[in-house]
Amino acid sequence: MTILSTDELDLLFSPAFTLSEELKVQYFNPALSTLLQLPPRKIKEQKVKELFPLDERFWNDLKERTQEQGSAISEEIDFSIGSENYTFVFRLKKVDSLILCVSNDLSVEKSLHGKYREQLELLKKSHQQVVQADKVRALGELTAGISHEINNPLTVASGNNELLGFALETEDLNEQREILTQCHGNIDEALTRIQTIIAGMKGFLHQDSQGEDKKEYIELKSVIDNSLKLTQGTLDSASIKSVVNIPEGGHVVLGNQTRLEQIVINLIQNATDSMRDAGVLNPTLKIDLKRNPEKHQISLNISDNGPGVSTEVKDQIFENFFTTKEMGKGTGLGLSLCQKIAEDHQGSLRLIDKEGGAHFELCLPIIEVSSFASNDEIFSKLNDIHGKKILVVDNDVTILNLCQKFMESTSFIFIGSTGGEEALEVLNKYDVDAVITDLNMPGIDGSTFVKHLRQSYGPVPVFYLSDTSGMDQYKKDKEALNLSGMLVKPFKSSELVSLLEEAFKG
Amino acid sequence: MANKILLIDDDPKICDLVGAFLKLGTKGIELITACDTSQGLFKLENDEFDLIIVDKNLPTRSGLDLIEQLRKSFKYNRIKIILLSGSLTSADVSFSVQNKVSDIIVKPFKYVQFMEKLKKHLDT
Repeated sequence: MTILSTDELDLLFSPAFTLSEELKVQYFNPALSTLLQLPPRKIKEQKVKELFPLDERFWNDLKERTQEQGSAISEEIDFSIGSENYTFVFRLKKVDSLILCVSNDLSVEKSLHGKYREQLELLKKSHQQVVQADKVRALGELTAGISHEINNPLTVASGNNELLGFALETEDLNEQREILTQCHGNIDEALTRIQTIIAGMKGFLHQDSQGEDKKEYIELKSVIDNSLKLTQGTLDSASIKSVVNIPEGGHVVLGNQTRLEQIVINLIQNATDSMRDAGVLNPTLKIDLKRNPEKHQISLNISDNGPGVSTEVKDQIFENFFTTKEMGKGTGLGLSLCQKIAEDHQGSLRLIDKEGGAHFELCLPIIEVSSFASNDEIFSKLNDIHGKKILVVDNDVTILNLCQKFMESTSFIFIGSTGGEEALEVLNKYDVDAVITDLNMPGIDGSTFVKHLRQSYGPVPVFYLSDTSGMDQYKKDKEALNLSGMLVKPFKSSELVSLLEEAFKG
Repeated sequence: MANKILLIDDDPKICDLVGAFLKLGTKGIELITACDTSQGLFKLENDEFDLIIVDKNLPTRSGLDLIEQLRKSFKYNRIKIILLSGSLTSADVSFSVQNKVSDIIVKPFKYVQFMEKLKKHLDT
């Protein structure tokens, strides 16, 4: 094995030098001189701590480690020489009585990385502006329909107000009691209708305070309901019948309510425009939800009986700025944005081939899968040693969101599931460290779920979650199913955390 | 002479309101209501009406479609029709002229104007 001679070290682009016992520079290559901007006579025999603007402890520590282990590598360290900023990493090796030091200049890499992050942030911000602008546009298109929606209750309120006025003019108000009561009730109802419509608009338009896309556990049924509320006027104006088919049970996904509504509203608007422009008789909009267990997905399908999407444009409809509408009538961003939102949710939006109309399918991962995906960051952090994975099984979305929130500031990792069967599937594929299950759920109940769990999964700590009425079941099952405890609703963050911590002690 | 009016509107509260207005006004106007096109046609065929009020937005089939159909039929070619609409667009106006619609009432409407328009077209 040949040892590098100083001739070869002279060729290196990065500084290389040797240090004596007292950390004084002995040999050094031209690159060091260039870096330090010092002539050779000012480098030779100088203490290294004088040459680099770095703390003495940095070199002392490296020297110690080198002497103990024979070699050492430093952390990335920043320093400035003159007006230049550098980021370096140093590698030291004991060679006879000297310490050889080579280095790697990471400055360019670091600054590029910094610029990259900046660009990414800018891109993110401008993407959010585009998404918001599209929301505004979508709302604008709904305006005609919404005005119509508001007009009817407005007419009822205004008319009943007049009737009220007339009744008040009569001699004996007592005789008018019935009419007055009726009018008052009608006005109340009409005003509530109007308020609900406006609240729906405001809710849709509202941007999250940080501009970030906050995700939480949401019920897809409510996404469909809200979207239909906002588009009801538009559908009515075009005499479109809507048929909604949502099977029993929960359809919970991890997502942003408003963003998903944006997709559904966009698709409904497209279907409406398509059917109206083509003058379809008996225009019908079909919306349904399907669970796809093998693919761990839920699909939301929106189809119409309009002319459909022609084969020529089929491949282009998801492209940016593509639109078949005339100038000024569509930004062409709608579908491409919807697809992007779907992808942001680890899902997809596609056009399904169909006879007689268009059929769009939005696929989203079931929460049992997405709660893993969203915890990616935690899994990949090298510092995290003790992140215990806690599976919470409850069909109530608010409980899932609550548990996730409580666990956010702890080292526990939240995995969610809406039912026993889905949870068992998760357990087949992934390891968890504890399970908290609700007792009363549609599908299999908590007790049955744990029985199955014990058969196929073994000794993981299991807790029951219920209000006080569940105490009896807990007492009954405690021995047989080896339960570790019970969480009683309503519960505080501290109760949840201490229950879990107890289970992991010893 | 008792006048009979057919109101085709899918909002029951609006039908109630028109009924209440008519009760206050001139005696002798009978109101029959229908909630969509097919119900409206059914009632038309089984009765005689002096005036039809058609809401523009009806489920399944637009009120405008119905008006066109009536005008094309032999029996209802000349029956008096008033269009009830949430707006007054130029499209609405030209449609009305083309289909010999007697008047347009815009929502929301006031009692006085509503009754005036009715009376105007019932008396002629």
